[in-house]
This record gives sequence, structure tokens and C-alpha cells, in this order.
Amino acid sequence: MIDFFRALFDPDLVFLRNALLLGLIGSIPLGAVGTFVVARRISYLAAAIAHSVLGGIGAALYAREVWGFAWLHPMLGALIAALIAASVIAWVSLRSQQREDAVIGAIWVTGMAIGLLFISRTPGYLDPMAYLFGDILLVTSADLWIAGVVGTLILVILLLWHRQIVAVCFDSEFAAIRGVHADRMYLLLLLLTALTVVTLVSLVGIVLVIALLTLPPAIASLRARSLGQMLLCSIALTASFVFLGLGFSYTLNFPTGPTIILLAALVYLLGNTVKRVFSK
Amino acid sequence: MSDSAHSNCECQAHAGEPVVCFEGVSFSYGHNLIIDDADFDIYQGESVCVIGPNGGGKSTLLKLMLGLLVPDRGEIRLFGEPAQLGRTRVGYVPQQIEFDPLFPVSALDVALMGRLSRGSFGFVSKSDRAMAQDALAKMGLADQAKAPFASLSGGQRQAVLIARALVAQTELLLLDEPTAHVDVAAEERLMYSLKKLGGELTVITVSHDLAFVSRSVPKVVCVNRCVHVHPTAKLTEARIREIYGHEVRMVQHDHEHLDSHGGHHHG
Repeated sequence: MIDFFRALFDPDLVFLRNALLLGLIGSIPLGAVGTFVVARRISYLAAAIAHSVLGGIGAALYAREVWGFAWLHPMLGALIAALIAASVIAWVSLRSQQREDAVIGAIWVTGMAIGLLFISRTPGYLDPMAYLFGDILLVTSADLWIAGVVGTLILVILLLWHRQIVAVCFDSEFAAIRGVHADRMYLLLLLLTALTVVTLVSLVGIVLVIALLTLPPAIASLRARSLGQMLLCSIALTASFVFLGLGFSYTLNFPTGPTIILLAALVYLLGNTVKRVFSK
Repeated sequence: MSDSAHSNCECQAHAGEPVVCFEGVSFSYGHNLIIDDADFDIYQGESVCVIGPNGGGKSTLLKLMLGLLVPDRGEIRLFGEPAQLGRTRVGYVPQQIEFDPLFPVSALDVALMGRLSRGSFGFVSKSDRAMAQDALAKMGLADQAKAPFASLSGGQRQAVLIARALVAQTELLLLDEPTAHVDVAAEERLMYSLKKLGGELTVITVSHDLAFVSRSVPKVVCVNRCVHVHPTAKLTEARIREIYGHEVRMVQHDHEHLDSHGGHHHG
């Protein structure tokens, strides 16, 4: 780990500092929004949103190379795809008469299929694995700016509307009677989930970002007595997993995304085991 | 509109705007007619019980009052406004709340949800917190404010939900079988706490317990697709037989206390 600390100050290893910064900035919206996702039990919806992001990344990469849209950063494409997927999923959950699980599964795979199709048609070599499982070499200063702006936006929205979102998550019928737009708050939560997922996609990838969104709040919920406690604890855990996971991956030459996620999964397993042992 | 205008309401005339006004309201789930041409008024300060058999439409009637369901025909007004506007002055206590036992909220957090409105932004104010603590104290739960909601007993949870309804500075309290899932002791405590509230509060309670109805409220709304409103004293065996569709023997203990045998209904 000492090598990792030295590397953080090495002027030639800017990518490592960028990756750490992105992880630390992203841990705030991830911990905050993840708390609501876990408390409301909509992790599977968050997973569908995350996977549909590949469609946006693929389309943006294709548009840059083929149509010359140099301004279209892949993360911007990811953001647009995530927001569209969140809106469609919210509509299906709240309004559609279709089988919700089947429609959400369809959105999940359609987004991925579109992404893979665009990537296959984009000139030059592009490895979809880098987007699916993360690659710290993909992290640029533009990602930091996007994460900073998106993270701030998420925090402001949560500060303003957290009481209404909590009430809708706990008892949407009562919230509606109190005049709260329950459906709009549910849509807002899914849009925030979409924004959050996008902030850390380049670091841990589409598949693994869901684990980082849900595992820290799940660990926090083992001890937390209030949603506020769960939220703060989730942010601290996410930041710790990113820092330690990055350190271990650098020191042991492991891929970063899987190292971070395995660390989080290990702590979750330990937390559950300890809770079971002490509750007997 | 006065009661006398309604063919299926046998109650006294009242001055002023009714708190609840149903005018020719019908509601169906698909082709299944649940409420047929309901016409009745409920006035400020009244305590009313809604009775009827399982599937007779009691909970549907409450959801119509709250604007959670839209009638096929007719009009519902709360405090002179359409139900969806007037409902913010209503405290609603459901029969049983479906909640996630792992959702980390305390009794105080749940009570504070009663202070919520469309314009609630940011953090909870000190006055809101004080009101929620006061409402919990009124329900005998002052020392349980910080306890996780999921760790409370059925009766205590029901009391927290009533506190949540009261903290909204409710003018009309709707209780959907508040004692259906609690034991007798908890039921007594709940009813005692509710009686202490009294005052100008209008209370509508859905109940399956005819003994409770006869000793607790002066007016009943009988629902079995059709809706009839009576003074409790006029709730005869024939009327109950008509509503429930089977024999119910009633024993008169005194002028105000009517007990039923074989008439314990779960709705």
C-alpha cells in the first residue's frame, strides 16, 4: 500500500489520481441515492438503468467517429440513455398494464444490444469490456467535471426533496393524501439513480456500479437506526471501498473495478455473519 | 345540502357545510358494482361508524372519500372542495400498513410524515418535531419516539399511525378498522386515547365490531353496495340482517349500550 501512496503523488500517474478523485466524488451520490434504492428495494430497477447505459455510450462513440460529433462525450451519451431508461421504467412501474418484470428485462437487454451494435460499427478497436467492467485508464478530467456537477445536482435535489421521497418510499398512499405527488417523487428517485450510475461507470463499469450502489447501504442497514445514519454510513463505506480497492488493485496488479466490488462484498458477508452470530 | 334531501339518510338536519358530502356516487371495479348511488352527509364534530359485510364496499367508501379512487358517477366533496383538494385536511389511518420491516424509520419519523405537504422542502422544523412528539405523547408513546417503527407491537404501530394522522392538524379522522389487528388490551388503550381527543374533530371509523359501534357512536353508515345512514339507536336486527345477510341477535343492556351475539364481523 506504501507504493500506492507514493504513486498518488507521482506526476506521471495522473490517471491514478483521477480515478481516486472520481471514486471519492462519486461516493457521495452513490451512498446517498443507494440508501433510498436499497430502502425502497428497487435495486433491480437500478440494474436495468445501468445496463441500458451501454446503448448511450455506444451511440455516442459511433456519432463521434462516424458523424464527427467530437463534443459528444461517451458519458453524455450514457447520461441521456440512463435518463430515458429511468423515465420508461417509471412509466412501466406506475402506469403500464404489462408484466413489469418482463418489460424491465426487455429494457435491460435492449440497451445493451444497441450499445454493442453501435460499438461493432464504430471504426477502430473498442473493447466493450472496458465499459462493462471499468477501466481506470478511461477516467479523464471530463469525467471528474461531469461527476462533480452531477453529484452536486443530486445532493441539492436530495436536500430539498428528501422528506417527500422518504414518505413515498415508506407509504406512498399516505404521502399522496398529504398532497405529495407520489408518482413524480418515484420518477425523481429513478432519475437520481440514473444520474448516480453514470458518475462511476468509467471507474467500475456498468455491471459493477450496481454493486457499489447497493452493497454499502446494505452493510449500513445492518446497524443503522435511521435513514440519515444509513446514508452517512453508506457514503463513508463507499469512499473507503474505492480508496482501499484502488490501493489493493495498484499494489497487487488486479483490475480495479472487481477489486473494489469484491472488497465491498466481503465486508457485506462479514457484517451479515457477525450480525447473525451476535443476534443468537 | 341537508340530510333531508337524501332518501337514504335518516338523520337530523344540520346547519352549515358538511365535512363529507356524497351526492349520487356510484363506483365499480370493472363490471362489479361496489357502491350504488350513495347519498349522505357527515357534519363537523360527528362520530360515525361505517359497518357492513366483507367486500361490501367499506374500504372503497373511505378511498373514495380520500380521492384515491374516482367515482364512476356522482360527486364527493370534502369541506366543500373536491376530494383531492380537501383531503389534505384529513387524517387517514389504514387498516394495516404494508411496510418494509427493514426500512429504518423511528416512531417519530413516521409521525413527522403527518407534517408533510407538497411544499415541504429541506429539513424538519423544531415546531414540526415538537408537534409530532406531542401527538405521540397523546397516544401514550412518548417514551417510544426513538424506537424503530418495525420493533413496535401491532397496537403501538396503529397508535403511531393515528399520531401521524393527528399531527397533520386534522379536522376529519378516517380510521379503517383501527383495532382489527390488535389484541383486546391494545384495543382498549387505542379507544381510550381516541376518546380523549374529542372536541371538534370529526371521526369516521370503519368497524366490524357491532358492540363497539353501539356503545361508541351515535350514527352509523351501513354499506353493502347500497349506503344507508342511521342513528345508532335505530340500528335494528332487521336492518343488520339486511346488511349482513344472516341472523344477528342483539341484546339491549341499557339505553346507550347495545350488544350483539353472533354478530362479530370482519370486514
